[in-house]
Amino acid sequence: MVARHTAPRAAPRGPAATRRAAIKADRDGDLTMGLPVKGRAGVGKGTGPPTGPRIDGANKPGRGGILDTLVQRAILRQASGTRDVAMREERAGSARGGLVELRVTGWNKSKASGDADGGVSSLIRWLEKKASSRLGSRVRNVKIKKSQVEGTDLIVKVAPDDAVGLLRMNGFGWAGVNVTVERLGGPVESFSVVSSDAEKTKAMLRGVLERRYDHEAKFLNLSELAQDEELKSQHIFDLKSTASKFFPAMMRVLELSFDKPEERDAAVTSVSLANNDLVDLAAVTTLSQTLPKLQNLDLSNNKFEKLEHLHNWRRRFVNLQHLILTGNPLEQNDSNYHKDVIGWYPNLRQLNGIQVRTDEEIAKKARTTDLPFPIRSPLFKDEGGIAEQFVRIYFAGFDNDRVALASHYYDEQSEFSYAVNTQAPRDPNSTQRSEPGEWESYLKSSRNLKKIQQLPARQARKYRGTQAVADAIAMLPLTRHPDLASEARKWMVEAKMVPGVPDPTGASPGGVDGFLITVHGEFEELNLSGQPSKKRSFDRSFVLGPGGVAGVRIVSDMLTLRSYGGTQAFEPENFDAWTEPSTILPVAEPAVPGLPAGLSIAEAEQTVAQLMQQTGMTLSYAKDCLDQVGWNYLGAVEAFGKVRGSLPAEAFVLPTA
Amino acid sequence: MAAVLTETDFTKLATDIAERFTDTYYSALSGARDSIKTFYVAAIAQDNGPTFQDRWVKDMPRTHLEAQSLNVHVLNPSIKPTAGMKKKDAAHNMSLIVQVSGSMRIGQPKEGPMRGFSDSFVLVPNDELGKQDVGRQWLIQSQTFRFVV
Repeated sequence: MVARHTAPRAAPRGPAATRRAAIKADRDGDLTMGLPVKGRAGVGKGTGPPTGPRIDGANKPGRGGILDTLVQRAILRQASGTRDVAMREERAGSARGGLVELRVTGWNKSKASGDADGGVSSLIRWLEKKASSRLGSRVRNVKIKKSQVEGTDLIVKVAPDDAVGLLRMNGFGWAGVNVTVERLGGPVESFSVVSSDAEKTKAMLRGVLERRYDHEAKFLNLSELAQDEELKSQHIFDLKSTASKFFPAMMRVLELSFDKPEERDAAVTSVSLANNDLVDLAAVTTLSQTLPKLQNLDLSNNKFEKLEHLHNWRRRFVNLQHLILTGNPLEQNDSNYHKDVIGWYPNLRQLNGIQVRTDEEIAKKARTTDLPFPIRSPLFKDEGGIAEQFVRIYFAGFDNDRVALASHYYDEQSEFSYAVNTQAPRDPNSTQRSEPGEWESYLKSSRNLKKIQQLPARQARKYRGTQAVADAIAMLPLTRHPDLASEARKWMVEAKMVPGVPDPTGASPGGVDGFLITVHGEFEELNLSGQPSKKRSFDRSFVLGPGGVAGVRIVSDMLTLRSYGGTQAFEPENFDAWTEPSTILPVAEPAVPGLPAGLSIAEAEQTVAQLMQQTGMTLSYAKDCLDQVGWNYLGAVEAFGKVRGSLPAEAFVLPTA
Repeated sequence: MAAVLTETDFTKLATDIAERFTDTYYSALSGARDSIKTFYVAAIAQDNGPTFQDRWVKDMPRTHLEAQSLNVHVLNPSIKPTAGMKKKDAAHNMSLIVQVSGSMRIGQPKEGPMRGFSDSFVLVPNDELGKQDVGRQWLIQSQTFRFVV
């Protein structure tokens, strides 16, 4: 009876039970079909006739602990005085090199009889395929060793292990006829020895699984179980008690066919439970324990009335990609069930054959989990192209000529330092692991305050002044950054105006407007021969102020270095809900007519004054200049620098004597 | 005229302030979200701060932010002219630019997705401290926060 299958049979108890090898043998022993070909066949061949105590076979070298377990089983069997079908199979290799003869009849009037050989080769292929066990850790490929036709009989010779599989096919349909498979002769084995009901049931369930398993598609077709001939013949569904226990039993048999869960998960990725009159998941819930990594599930044409009846599985099957629920009453009763189901299974790509997520969406979802702050495209509030030009020139210079770069942008007040974040998360799409010593050339000057606690070190690792900065950046390994134009996706550059940047002219002690430019990106570190050796990610925060030879100068430059983190975080997300501008910016004051928002009259006057002083222009020319650049001081200076040559004399205030 | 604060002073002050501020700030983003707007200058705190804070309080899932790398420079060493300023006041007369690199765990601890972030902000002294010095000493005037991984 089905109920009894759960009772352990000939299972070594005690310490042996905990040994994996023991479990293996137990599993094999309990199953009639899960016999290994490799290894065991080696054990089997050349063994004496497996009558009585199995000690002979046990003496043969086998895999690992099997030897011991065989011995134990033999002992146990002797003690319990029973023999079960399992033992028989295990005795792989009856007579030395002995094959079992089987007679196959009933095939001669098949649809394949028109073949040149009367369908024999086709029959043999079918016999081998059907008898083979593709479901399990030990795949067995049945091979018919010899065959000959005698009249309407096909006599085949197979290894005893394989014989059992073939004998099971007695009565199976092939090419329109039912074939019979009977044992003719061979090593003396009493196949008729009574086996326990549990063993029989297991064997039967195993056969059901095997028959319904499509090896290529990794698909276990458990649909229409009530119509299954074999199950019907076993009266599984006649009694409620057996009906409810049969599925968990079958799941258990499936589990036992595999050595490791990983093998099981890999072998079966799709299951159908269609057409099973399922009202809820009670009977089949064990599927989620046996195949938790299932990818494709068909629950169509059952009797699920509401989505709640599927609640058992809402937190299971996390890898589910395809789900079919058509043909269930819940389609009418719970018309919005799609949304819920899609929410249950974050990896679901298709529901009822309709795509609900793309692979890209899945990749993203796994990352951001719907935060209320969706990722926006970069905020780049430039003025007169200053920030943009700076970024282009800077990174080109950093790659090619750091000395020139230093004199171009850093003055005596400029400060530079860098810090290494050795704990930063890495690119989720890569399998690169951290290597010891990978930051060696950087650490001695890294100013990560989390790691560098001593004041003198903190002081020493910040560089001020053109020369100091030049020296510091020269010490860093050479770099090659991706092209800003053609590889824009590898960059995330943002810019905004910030007030309070120290004024080099001293006119405004409170500071003037400058830029805060944050650059996130990557570079290839070049080795001593100039070849790319490692990809790194970086974050750089520049504060730019007016002045210097370039019109802009770097007031502060902070660089963070970290392992390559990929570019996926730079992709803006769809943000329907996020329509307001950044809430982090200082709030702009109401705009004064003629002046850009955020600029009060007082400030405007001050800016004009500054510009006049710096450039020597008259009030009106200075104002015009500023107008053209949106009242950005830096922009005005730069614009002035460009047009200075063409300005008329009247643009300038005459120097007073 | 001799500067009120030396280089060493500046370094010490800046680093202390940055460390303390970031500790409190990132903890608040995780665990004391109804105080988020108090970290920003009045202009932000009054207008956009409440909305920003609201989203953190209501919509943001559980997060744990960890600053893994921290660095700070003095941006403007003297906002107001320092003539005759006492050291104590000079210490509040500067602005700082802070750069943080860290990770943010969203959802369950140890299991939720982890994002890498980069944060840059300008810290300015809080002008509106009462006599009793209640309230934060330093406030964010401008911030750029980005997920980078």
